[in-house]
Amino acid sequence: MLLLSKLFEINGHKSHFPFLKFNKGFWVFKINLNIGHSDVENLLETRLCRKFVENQLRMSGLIKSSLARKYVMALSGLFLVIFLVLHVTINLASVISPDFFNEASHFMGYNPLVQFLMQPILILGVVIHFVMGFVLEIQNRKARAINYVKYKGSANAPWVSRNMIYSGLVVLAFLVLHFYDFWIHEMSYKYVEALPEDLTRYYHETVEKFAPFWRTALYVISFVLLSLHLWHGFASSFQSMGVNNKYTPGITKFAKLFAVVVPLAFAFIAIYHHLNPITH
Amino acid sequence: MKLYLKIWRQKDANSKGSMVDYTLEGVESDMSFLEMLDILNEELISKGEEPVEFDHDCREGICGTCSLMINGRPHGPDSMITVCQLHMRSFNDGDEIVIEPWRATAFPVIKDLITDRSAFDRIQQAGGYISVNTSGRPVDANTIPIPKPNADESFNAAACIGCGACVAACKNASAMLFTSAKVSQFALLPQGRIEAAERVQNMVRQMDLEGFGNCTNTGACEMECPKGISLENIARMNREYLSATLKG
Repeated sequence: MLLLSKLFEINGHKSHFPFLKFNKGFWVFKINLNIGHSDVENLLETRLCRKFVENQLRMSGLIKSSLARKYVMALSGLFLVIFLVLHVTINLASVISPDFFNEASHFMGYNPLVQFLMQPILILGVVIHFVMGFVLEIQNRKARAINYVKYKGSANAPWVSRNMIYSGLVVLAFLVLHFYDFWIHEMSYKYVEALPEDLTRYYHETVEKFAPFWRTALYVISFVLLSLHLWHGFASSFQSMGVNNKYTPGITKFAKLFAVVVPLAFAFIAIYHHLNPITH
Repeated sequence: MKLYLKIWRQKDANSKGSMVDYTLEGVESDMSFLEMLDILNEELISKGEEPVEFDHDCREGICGTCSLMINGRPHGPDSMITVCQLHMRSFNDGDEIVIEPWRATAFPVIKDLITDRSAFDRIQQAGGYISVNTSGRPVDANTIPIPKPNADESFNAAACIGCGACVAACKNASAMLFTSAKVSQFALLPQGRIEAAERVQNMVRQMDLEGFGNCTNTGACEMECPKGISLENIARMNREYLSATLKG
């Protein structure tokens, strides 16, 4: 780089790239060829440099563009969909086999790879998804500063697609409760109270959580909103990533089936534990 | 038929507008919507009032100039038509009709129902063309063979008349359908491939600069487009932009 910055003369104008100059709306290269390089060397370095700058400019364009924000939304959403599959699978075990549920929960709670790599990535995925959701919502509202007196949104688009922010906000509020119920409890058990590992506690802890009617009801309501969010979001993420081809009808059908089945399974598990408390 | 009209009146770009009520009698069902507005304006002029300004040109659905939000829908209640192709038979005697301009920060109101849609022109200028050396000798159109499905899809995208109904319909005032139609029209043809990567990046950049919203894939634009431009174009633009950005 030192060599490169020597090669390209700085021309007074402030630039992230010492060898670039902004002139009348165009980025231009200012090249000083009088430092004893052979023509071939000069040509080679000019090309390398040009490639580097072009890459930098392109990537900065990607971060700023509206399309890139949609890619981020779609990819983080798809990542969270994959996570839901894992989550619902382990949860279903609590209905079928308490022993397996205990084992799986213990593995998830104590495996360092899960705890210190997968969990932070998951939290990051959630944060990126909702922060970007808010950013997009704010921009979208700015894009229509004055609203229509009469706007018939229902005439041309389904309710779920027009209200992703609201279904998303309910799911986010649910996550706060869910974190309080399970994650905070786990952190406190492991690190604050520093209680010993107990392979059998997970099943009855989970079942007891669903004893109060209000919590079960809140969970079920959230799963309904999660279903609505997925109903539009899952299939929509493919469109955002540019996938719209002969497979699209199939993908959409699968995504809608997923949007019903997975939240239904979550709701079933919550209601099941509410109706079947552990009797000591 | 007798109609109760609620029309957005705004003196100029800097004034604050409001909805004004008008009652119009003697409207025939075979009149076009714009003819109905012409009659209203004749009445207003005869009374010495300022007529309602609205955009119109060809009055046969091909120029994309007319642009009215009628009862909460761009180009009114019928599908696949522009306002000039909308007839009063779509309404009933005694109906209330709310008429507003396109609402988008990127389409500021100039007067009454007229908006400044030059943002679309600037998006088009950012890349909606191909660079070819022209001469007095026209080259045969069939010199470069083009697969029929591609030619058809390109033609369908090129059917966009740039009226802005997609922006007006979108809850986010996004211009993705328009921009993607213009990108697709060229991206599908060999002549357009040469500048494809640059084109999609420049047009998207301009679209963002104009202050349009983001796409939520609601599909409202596709439903309201008078020319039936498909959402597949938006997916194509997303694809083109992603590969242009990553590959360079």
